[in-house]
Amino acid sequence: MPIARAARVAAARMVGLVALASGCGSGALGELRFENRPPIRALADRRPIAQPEEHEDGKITASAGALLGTEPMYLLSVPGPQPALDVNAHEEVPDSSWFTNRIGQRELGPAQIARGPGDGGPDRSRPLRVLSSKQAGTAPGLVVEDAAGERYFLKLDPIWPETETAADVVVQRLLWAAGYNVPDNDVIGLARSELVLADDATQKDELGAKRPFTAQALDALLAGAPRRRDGRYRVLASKFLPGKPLGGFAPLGVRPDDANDRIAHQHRRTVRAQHVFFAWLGHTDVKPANTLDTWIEQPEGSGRGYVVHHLLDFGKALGVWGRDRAREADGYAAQFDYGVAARSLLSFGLWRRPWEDVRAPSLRGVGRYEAEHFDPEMYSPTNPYAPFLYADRQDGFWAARIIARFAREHIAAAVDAGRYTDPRARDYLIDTIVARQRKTLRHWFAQVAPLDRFTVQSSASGVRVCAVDLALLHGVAEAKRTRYRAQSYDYDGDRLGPPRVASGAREGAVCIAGLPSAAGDGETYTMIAFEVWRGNEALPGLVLHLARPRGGGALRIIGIERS
Amino acid sequence: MSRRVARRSRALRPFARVALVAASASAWLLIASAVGAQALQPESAPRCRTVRCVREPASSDDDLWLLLARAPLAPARLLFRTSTELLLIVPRIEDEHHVSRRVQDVFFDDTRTFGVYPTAFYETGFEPSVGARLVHRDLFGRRERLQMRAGFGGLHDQVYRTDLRSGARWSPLELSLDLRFNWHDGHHFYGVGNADLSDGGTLVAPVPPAALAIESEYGKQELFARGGATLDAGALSVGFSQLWRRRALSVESPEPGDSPAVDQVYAGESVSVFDRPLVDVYDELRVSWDGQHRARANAPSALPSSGLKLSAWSGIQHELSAPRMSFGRVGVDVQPLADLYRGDRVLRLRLRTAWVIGPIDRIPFLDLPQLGGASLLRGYGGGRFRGRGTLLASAEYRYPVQQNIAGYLFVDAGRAFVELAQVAASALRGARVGFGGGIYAFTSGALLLRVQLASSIDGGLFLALRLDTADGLGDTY
Repeated sequence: MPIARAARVAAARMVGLVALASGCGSGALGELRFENRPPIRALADRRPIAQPEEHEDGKITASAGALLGTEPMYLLSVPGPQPALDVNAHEEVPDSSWFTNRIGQRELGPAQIARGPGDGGPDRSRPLRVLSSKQAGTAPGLVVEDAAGERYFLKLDPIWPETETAADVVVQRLLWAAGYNVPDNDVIGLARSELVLADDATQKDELGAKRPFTAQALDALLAGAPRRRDGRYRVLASKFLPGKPLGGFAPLGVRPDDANDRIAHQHRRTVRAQHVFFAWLGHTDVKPANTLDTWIEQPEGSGRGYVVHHLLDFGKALGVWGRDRAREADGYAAQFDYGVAARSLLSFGLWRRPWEDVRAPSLRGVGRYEAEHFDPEMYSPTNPYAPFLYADRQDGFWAARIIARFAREHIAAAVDAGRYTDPRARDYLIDTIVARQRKTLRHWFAQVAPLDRFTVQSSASGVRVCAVDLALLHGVAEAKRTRYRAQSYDYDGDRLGPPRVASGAREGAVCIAGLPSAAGDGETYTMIAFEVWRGNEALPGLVLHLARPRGGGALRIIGIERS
Repeated sequence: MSRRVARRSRALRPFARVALVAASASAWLLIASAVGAQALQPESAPRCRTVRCVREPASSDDDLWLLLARAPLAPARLLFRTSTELLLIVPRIEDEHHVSRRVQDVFFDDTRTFGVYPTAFYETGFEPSVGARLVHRDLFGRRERLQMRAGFGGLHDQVYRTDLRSGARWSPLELSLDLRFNWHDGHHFYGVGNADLSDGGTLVAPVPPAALAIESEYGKQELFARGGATLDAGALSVGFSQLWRRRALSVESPEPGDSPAVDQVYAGESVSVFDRPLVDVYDELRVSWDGQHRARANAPSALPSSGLKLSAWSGIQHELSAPRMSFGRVGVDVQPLADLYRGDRVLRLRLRTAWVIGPIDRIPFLDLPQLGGASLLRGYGGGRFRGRGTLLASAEYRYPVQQNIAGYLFVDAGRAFVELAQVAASALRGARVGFGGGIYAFTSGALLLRVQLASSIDGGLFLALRLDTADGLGDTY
């Protein structure tokens, strides 16, 4: 666990202990009460605004700032527990310009994941017009325009064949299916004859000066690119995102000239919980430059629009960066990690660092990505990323729930989109992504009471609450060691009747009946506190908040409070 | 000014002072409150939670505890934030104006065969030295190499060097020419032998040896030219070199608190070298075996992981200045490396001995084999022990710290001998032991920086810092 996050957890526990010891802490049930209304499912954050200013820190400034300042500033701020602020009453993230609930919420089969958000790449009914060489990022490439007038980045594998082009697409598919906004990426095979230089094609040197992009320069750029057996170049085609680019979104705070951006990014679950997805997929190149806000003018020509927030550039994921011998700590420690440096220095080399036994498989296109040594808690991006330091276990649980919805067929469809030429590479990656998925679930489902899909029925004999224990459903906990306990309370926190218990079932389904509800004719606000026990260990519990709608009706869940 | 006004002014002065202090304190408190309040605010705290509509209390007791914990750190947060912003000015300028690229275009060529690099050096007992090194790795297309270096450490501390090698032009034979001039005033001489350091006082001791070692100082201006030819056959190389050298030594009357001059403490023919320049020619044959190699591609060649390095040399030095004389030199240096784990936990052992053959009472003292300094018997000042011969054993353990940083720990043991017979009788008795550790910073191609802290069983603390270790880890005979 990164040292800053470990310090925060320890500090939060200390604060809690001190508060408890001083008798000033809140009671076991807490003081949180929910408004009696359905949870918000979609945010109205596309209100029209004028185009914000484009802003982006330079690459070196961003890296230096992240390395120097992120963790020390975080520790100096003595951060207490700060729940995510972009979640609704059911601890879910509503659809917004940041995130769209897809897998598990909408029909999303393997065929859709294989196709992804786009149309399968550029329209090649005519040769692609090369407009310029690609300047940003480390992978060489081109900017082209297709027959339909759409613009694409074409990226090549800079060092190891198939690695970056495949990883970018595989991770893009999975993150899109999870709900994030990502570009439309596809791996295609391109013949040299399908590329035609535009008359005004340019390339920039390292000082930013433009000069004409010649055919010789184009051939030189392609000379180092791997080719398929049919002689075509393997490229990643990434469609330009719609709208006007504004630069990446800052890790901290909000975009000041975007009135819709009202929640500080480090307090957004959609941003904080990315570390769970990125750990699963071995994506460590996390920085503002690998995000992009775009302003969509709507209606066109009105001068008003809204901002959409995207994630980009997954070419270093799936352990690709870790293939570089100079980055063997990829995924385990930042480029400069204070904790690792101190521990290594003071242990005089006796500390066996977690990544030292990790080996890259000798498969074409596959990075240093494996499951045996994977520990979800040990993940670290290459540069410290502030929102990850604020993440809590509820963020982790939310992400793990989404990850759990990917069946093997979904993962296989995403891997197939990467078009690995070696079938062993394909099979290896599917197996490894699935194995890491299971480790992710086992870890995060043990941090909270992993109950989900609640249903409530009330009758004369009381309230019957059913749920699914996700840990049992996915086979990462043992049913025979599992027990549940539920206790009803009224609005003021007074107990209602005795607690009810139930045992775990292999499929994870649990129902507890006969729970008393609050008396009266009004909303009859009732709280049901759940405890989940694995053997003798109690997981942090949760409280269901129930009420009848105004105007009458059955009890319904108006809030879920996870501790 | 009238007396009344003057009296009133004097009377008011204390009040004015108090008022000024009070005003300053109030202003400071106001500023501090505003800054502290700002620092206490979490980043972009929303005023209402529009997504999750709750009826929750405005604050909790936990918030109070956190507030109490945060408040004292507000100045630290402000200071850290300000410092970080100041440090980020450099990368911002780099991002905006690509300064390093522009500098590279001036000082380096496209193929990176030519470049200019900064250098810096510091060792306890010497003034810090900064300079630059110019390298051309391919003068005429066959990897002929030219290296020029200049360093400055104060008015009387300069070094200039030019090194030219023929590269692969006549491979496997490589010719070299090395020209140097250096000037340093702060050299030390402690007599000959293995004696303990003493205050000395007005004692004038003969050289060779006295029972005591007394710190004394001298200055040296040195100009030399060395030409050589080396035959390479894989790991084995055989080289012959001839060195022409002119050295002018000087002594000055010491300031109070400074060490005495050499001629105030020591007497004898071997220290009678301050009245005329020393001119000598040294011919040497050197046989080397370098079987060391890196276990990891991302480690520089200066930090190998395993293998054996062996070097043996033999030479004759002819003193051309009066009184003319000649003496011989021999030596062996063996350095086995053991890769303990993964190529980055490495144990380097070393056994080194160097001797002169000739009348020790006539060989100039500064030509005697020596121990001490940043490389040979670390934990002691440079040239602390001199004698007819020296013996050094060293063990150094290197381990990884970060991606491009390694740490190391070492123990060096050695002593100087006045006569060869002493070796059989007391090779280890009276050995001096130094110990310490340090840090290497490196890229895949070069060792960039070494920082070392050393001490010994005789006390003292020695710091050495070297930026640009293109010459390897440094050594001397």
